[in-house]
Amino acid sequence: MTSDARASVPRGRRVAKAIRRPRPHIWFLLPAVALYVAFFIVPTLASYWLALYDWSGLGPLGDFIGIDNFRRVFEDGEFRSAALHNVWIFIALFVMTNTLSLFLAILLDRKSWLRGPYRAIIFLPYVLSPVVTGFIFEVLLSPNIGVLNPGLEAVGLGSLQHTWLADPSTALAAITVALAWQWNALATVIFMAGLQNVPPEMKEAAVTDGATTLNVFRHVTLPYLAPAFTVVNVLLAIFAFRAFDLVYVIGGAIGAPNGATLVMGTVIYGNAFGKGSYVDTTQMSYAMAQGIVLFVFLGLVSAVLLVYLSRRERRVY
Amino acid sequence: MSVASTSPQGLRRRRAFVAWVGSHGVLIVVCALVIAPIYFLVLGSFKSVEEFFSAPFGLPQHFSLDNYRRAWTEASISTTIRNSAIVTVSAVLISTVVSCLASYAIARLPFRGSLALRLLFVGGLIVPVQLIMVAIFIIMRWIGLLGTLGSLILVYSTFGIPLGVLVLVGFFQALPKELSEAATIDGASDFQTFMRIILPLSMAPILTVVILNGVWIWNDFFIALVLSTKPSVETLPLGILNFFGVYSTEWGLIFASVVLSALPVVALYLLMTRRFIAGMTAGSVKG
Amino acid sequence: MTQERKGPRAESAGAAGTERAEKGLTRAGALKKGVGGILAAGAVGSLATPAFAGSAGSARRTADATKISMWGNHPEWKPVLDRLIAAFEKTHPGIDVELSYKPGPQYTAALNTALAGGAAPDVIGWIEGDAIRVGAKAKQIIPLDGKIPIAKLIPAARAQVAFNNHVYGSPLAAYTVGIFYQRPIFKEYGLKPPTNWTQLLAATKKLAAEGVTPWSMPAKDMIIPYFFYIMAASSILGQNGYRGLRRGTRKVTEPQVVRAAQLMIDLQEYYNDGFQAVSYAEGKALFAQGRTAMLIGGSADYTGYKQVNPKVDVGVFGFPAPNGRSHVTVTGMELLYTVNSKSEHKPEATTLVNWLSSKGAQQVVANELARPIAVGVVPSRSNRVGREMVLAGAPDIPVWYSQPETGGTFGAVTSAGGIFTGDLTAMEFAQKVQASIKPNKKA
Repeated sequence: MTSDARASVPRGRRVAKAIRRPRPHIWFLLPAVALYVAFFIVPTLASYWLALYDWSGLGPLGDFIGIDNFRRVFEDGEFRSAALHNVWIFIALFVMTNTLSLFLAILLDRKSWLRGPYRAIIFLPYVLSPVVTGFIFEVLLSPNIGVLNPGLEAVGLGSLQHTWLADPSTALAAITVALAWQWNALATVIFMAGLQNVPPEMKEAAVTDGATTLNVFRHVTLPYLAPAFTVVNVLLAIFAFRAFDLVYVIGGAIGAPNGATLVMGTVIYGNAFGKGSYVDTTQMSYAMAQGIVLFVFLGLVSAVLLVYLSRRERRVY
Repeated sequence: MSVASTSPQGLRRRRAFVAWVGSHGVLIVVCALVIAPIYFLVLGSFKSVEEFFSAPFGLPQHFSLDNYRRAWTEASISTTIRNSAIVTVSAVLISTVVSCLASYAIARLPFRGSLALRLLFVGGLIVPVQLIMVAIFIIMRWIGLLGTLGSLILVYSTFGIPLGVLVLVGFFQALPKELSEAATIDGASDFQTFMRIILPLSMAPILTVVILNGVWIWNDFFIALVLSTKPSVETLPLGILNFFGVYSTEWGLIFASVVLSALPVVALYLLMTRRFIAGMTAGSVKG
Repeated sequence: MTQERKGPRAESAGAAGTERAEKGLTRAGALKKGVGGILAAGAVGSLATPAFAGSAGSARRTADATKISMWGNHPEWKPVLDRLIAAFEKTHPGIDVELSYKPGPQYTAALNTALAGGAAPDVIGWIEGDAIRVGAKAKQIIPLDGKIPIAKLIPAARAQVAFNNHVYGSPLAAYTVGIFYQRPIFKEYGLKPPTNWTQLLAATKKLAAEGVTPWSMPAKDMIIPYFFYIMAASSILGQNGYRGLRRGTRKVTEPQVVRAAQLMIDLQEYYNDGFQAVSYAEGKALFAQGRTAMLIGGSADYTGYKQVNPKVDVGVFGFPAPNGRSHVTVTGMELLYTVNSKSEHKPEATTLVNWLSSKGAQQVVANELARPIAVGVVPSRSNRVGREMVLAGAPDIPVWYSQPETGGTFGAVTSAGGIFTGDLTAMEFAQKVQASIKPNKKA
């Protein structure tokens, strides 16, 4: 990754300067940098290195095959379909977040004695572990012990009953709902934070000038929300493309049914550590290569989002 | 203020009332959707396996705490909760302290490569964790910390840095320069400026970082899975997962263990809701 | 969450932020200071003393006993295995065994990582098949020639742990897979275990007509479908045919063998609802609860059924051949236990591995766990199901993934879920499986 290379150069020069004239900032940076190098940079570099071999994860290292693994990633249909699933999740969450969460945040922005309890409840899903959440939804949607199907029946919508998780066309949607359940909790709170920063005087001024609520929103509130939009959407991208724990619990490493619920995270896990409890020929090096591709891809997506949204921010001010 | 129902004020008032009802209606529906899964989880924890099949939607016949009692002992919850608590608290502490120091330097001390360093730290948010766990395992073994809580603490501390730097650098940068300039003129060192002036003003974003890191570290299972080579150092999520394996079909029991595992965080959260959300909203998204 | 604030906004934002931050200052500050001290102590403490929260339980029972570590992959066997190991420790007072369980799906992950990092347990359990050979080749385990009573192990067990002129260890147990059925349900509708495919289909249809779900076929991880397929195919091939498959003289794409895949498709409407996303555990529970009538199951599953429904009343029959001339079960091995070459307690570890194959240990296995791997050990009379299992197979075929030539078939079936979604025909399914087979003329 290029910023690795960029950072090493100035750091080298900085170290040289420090030796000549010790600067205090070294001490501030040292603990974080030490931890980071030891448990982050080095392992990441090691995984680059591993990806250049043909290691299954068990036994001897295998042959050096250079970038063959990387080339294979781009020809891999399974990885591509998993990537598409991630994109699908991203789009679904993107729409939901920028409408629903925003709307909720606005509703919660009014001063009201109920605001506290509402906020407390709405943020709750984010506090639960994704493993627990995946498990809850898996049981809720189960055809045998679930409550969604009986629930639909009870309200007279029995015809909508379905084997949600077993049908390839609804399984991914069901998982996305579970993901959204957790994610929107965080997004709403972030938007609430952003709304706090809208100066009330501006809003009042607009209202006095005769603007409708909608216009106040569009021309006063929205621009001030730009930074919150940036934060939410960048985090959203990271969340959608790195999704693993929850999806793994519901769909497993083979993405039941028939790969319909695979995401890049579970594909990588399956290749690195195995897909089930029986014989697995793991392919650790290949998984590393896939992981690096995911990393770079996500880095690009985040960078693009960041740049585009930051520019919109700046245009406001 | 007298209001005739057809006057402009009257109309506005009625509209406001409708909006009020509407907004509360929406919020209540949303809250119901949020609570429903949790409600069924808790309800299920009191059921027997038979009841799951025969009355998935209904109330259990008895509300005995048997499932909870069994889950507590057989999932070794006392051990794993203790481990999780030690690991989470320590890692959050270390990570926050270390991030504060580094973010201060990046944000307010001039040096070349500060931007690159910042990007380097924040880029850590993007790295998929599966990628590096094998290498970390080997490193831990090499240091001799494998199978100890220390290995978990170090790894979690490190992974908490990106979030910390992301939040704190922005905040520190936004604090007025005059504050530190005044302190420097008075002869304070960088460190003193940091401790006496900047830090006390940053409690809100620091709380945000503490909360966000604390939540994911407490709930993490993958890193713990790889690094916990002995049962004595397993954390709560791992203990629950192992428990799933033993009693995979006794859903009531499993639900009870899940509720127990979520209880500490939820309880803490409910007690501190105001601080949680206030901490996050106040001064965390700047501008 | 903050975002980098560049530009003139920063100033006023800073001021506003400062105000709000000051309000939160005193309370949070005090909180941090008070708790901080305790936390710091805790952090330092746990870093300095490894396994801080650890050894409390198993502390200093036998102060100078050698401790060896061992892993199991069936947490549901805990009660029996713990007892078994305790018996070992009683007869071997100088050795303490630290047995920990990694849940099945995560076992490979944990083991591979540990091996890569050089921190595998003293007694390493390998999932049958190729892994133990790779481990032996990489010198991760030591040969135990002469230390294991290899002649007293059943041939299938021998084949797994003795290769390249060396013996490496012993399996803990074997498992056999057959078709479990609910005896009360069969009795109620006057059915007997089917002996050919016509009867199989007839029984299935009759049950469905009476409103009973005939089959539990949890397919979330494709394990049960895999066993269904290899049993159906093996019932057509027979023992000789299976050997031919390994040698390359037979193929699963032969029209008669493709019938096995077709059967899986034909029966699809009789599987439990939403079976494609139902997990193995849930499928077992359905069966144990009597909500389905039949389930492809292994000898180890019986304990699981009893956990769900203590009054469960089941029987076993082998997978019938289409023409009824034979009925097949498949047998595989549970973890193959070996000694870590990097262990510091090799003698003690060897003693344990040796003991696992002893008649005493195997009798416990036979009575309570799964199938024994020692010759001449038979489940006690009280274990009716165990005995039925032994009788259900004639012939008994090794589970396909345990043999080097057909080792890849499991992976092939795992990625062939399309057979249930209509994306794969029976022939295409068979082709995928055949592609994963590596024939060896000398098999």
